[in-house]
Amino acid sequence: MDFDFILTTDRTMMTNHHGKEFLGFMTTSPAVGLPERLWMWLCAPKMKTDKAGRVWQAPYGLRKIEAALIDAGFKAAVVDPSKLKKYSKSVKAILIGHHDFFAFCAPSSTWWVITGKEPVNRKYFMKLMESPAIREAKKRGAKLIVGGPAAWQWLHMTEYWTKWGVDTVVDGEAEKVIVDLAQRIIEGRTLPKYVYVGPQEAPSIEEIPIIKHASVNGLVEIMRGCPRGCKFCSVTLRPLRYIPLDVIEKEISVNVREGVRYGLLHSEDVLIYGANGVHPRPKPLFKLHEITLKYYRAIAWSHSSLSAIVCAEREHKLVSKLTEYIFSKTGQKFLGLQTGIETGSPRLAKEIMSAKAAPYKVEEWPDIVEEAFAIMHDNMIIPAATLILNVPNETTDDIIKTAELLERLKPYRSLIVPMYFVPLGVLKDQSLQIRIKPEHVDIMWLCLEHAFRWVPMISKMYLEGPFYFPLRVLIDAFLWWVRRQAEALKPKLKAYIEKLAEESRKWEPSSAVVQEAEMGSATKP
Amino acid sequence: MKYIAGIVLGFRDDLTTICLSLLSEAKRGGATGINLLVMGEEYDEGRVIEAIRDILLSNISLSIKVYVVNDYEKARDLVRGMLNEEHHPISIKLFKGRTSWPENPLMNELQAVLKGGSILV
Repeated sequence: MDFDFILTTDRTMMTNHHGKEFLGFMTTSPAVGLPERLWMWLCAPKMKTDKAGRVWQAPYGLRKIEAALIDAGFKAAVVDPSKLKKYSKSVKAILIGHHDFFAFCAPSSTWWVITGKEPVNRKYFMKLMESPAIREAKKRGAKLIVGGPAAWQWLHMTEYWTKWGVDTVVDGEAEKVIVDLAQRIIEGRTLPKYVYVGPQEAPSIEEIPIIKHASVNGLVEIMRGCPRGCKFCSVTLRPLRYIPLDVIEKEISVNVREGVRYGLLHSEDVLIYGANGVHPRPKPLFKLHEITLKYYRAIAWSHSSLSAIVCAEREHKLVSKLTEYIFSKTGQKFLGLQTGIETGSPRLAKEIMSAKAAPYKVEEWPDIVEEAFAIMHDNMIIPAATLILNVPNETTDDIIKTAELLERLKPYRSLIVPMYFVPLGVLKDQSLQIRIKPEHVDIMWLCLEHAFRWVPMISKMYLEGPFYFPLRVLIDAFLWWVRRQAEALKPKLKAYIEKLAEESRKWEPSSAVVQEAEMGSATKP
Repeated sequence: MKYIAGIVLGFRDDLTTICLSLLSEAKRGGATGINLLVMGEEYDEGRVIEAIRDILLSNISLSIKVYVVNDYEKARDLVRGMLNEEHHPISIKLFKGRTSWPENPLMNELQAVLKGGSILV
């Protein structure tokens, strides 16, 4: 079999994490407490391939680009990184997608700062780019195109751009532009070095192709874009589009046909699928789940906003009804999702995510968060929630408010992950520099204690059954190791915080700058 | 797709300003994007991107394509392709470089095609 266009990514991305999406978080960290080989087996086992090296499941973004190329008549396939050599002598272009090429995104950057070690996603991406297969193809004249949600990182890494001979970096929704680039490659015409797809040129619903083969863990997109306009998020820059039910059904069928019997509904805010503004509506959500559960034996939601959870429950008892429906149809005992707390400070929330609490007032944000956590706890939804530290203009008071909120969230079954601010969305021109403040250490400590409280129980539920026994043992061993390390670290913490306090006094934003920002006239510290 | 083309022929050390002026003109003129063609023997691809990085990072609304070409023949094909129906920009801005390239035939060819419809900066 011969392909002109090979799509691939590194090992940390080309995996289904044993069918457990949350284990994917571990690929954003360096190996800690375990040998790297064991760590990689735990979170990024090798994907099954056919004789041609095509993977069984591939990241959804790669599947979309593959579909766009196939629909346009090109010979394209997603191939495992270990099988690239088969094609290095014949391929016309290698297309590489990634959600965090250089580990600048959260949580990779956070783990990097905490451990001082290079995360495995970055390490394995570098390894892929230096691999003989890619070097040989490149030497022969094959083109190298990179893209995906982390494409912006290349603007900060031009030395690697040049060193590896990357021909084009594509930033944005690439389904349309990739066809033009492929045509240029076939015709031997010059490629642009950089392409940014603006919101007005994003593909319409009709222009988004249907995947041809299975996606990692049966992920299917139900919505693209988000109406909330948070300043730190790039998704919000995209126009909002609800994927029609018949398209969703076709993609689920593709997964089931290829043996993936469980799935992840992907959206920035699952509960506002077909919503009236940001008010969830029962009809489209039930329809969506009816169709999904016709095919999948178990499901998860990729993301939901906390305000949508509160709104859905207050207005229609929708969270209770939907989870009851899902559990009765599938037999699963809980539902996982990711969500964003980001801050416990209404002042900061107003500045960086003024519509995150909508339809409620942003001033009520901490109460909304707690109410949503309570609703999820009662309905067996387990959230992996994020906090953002080091946002431009963050004050000590903001961090204290976040710590207070964390205290309130102690009784609720969840994972809370602190992340350092990454310049994305309308804040993408901000500095990449991470500044650790003493209060950040308190937040991290609170999150760690929260994890010690809840992770053993969550991991028991998440990795139930004999098949996952070895994984459970490894996770338990890892937790034991982390707990020991944390205990050993405790006495040294005070001196570390004092050192940080000393350093932070040098660059703390003055109250004048913060005041100016509050008036909406400045975003730079 | 409505876009503005910026063609930089020959070496310029003010690419940031050029890119910024194209973006603001695109916004004023209701374009959805810009195509920037930077052509000259002296250009290093990485350096070009670095020179306009801050502009690329601060842009969120317009589509952008950046071409960097050192080879005269490729540059000519690219410009011709851009001027034909395939791309049909709503406006073209030509930026004259400060080295030998402005004297090459491509500049004359371009000026003839554009027939004064563009702005020579």
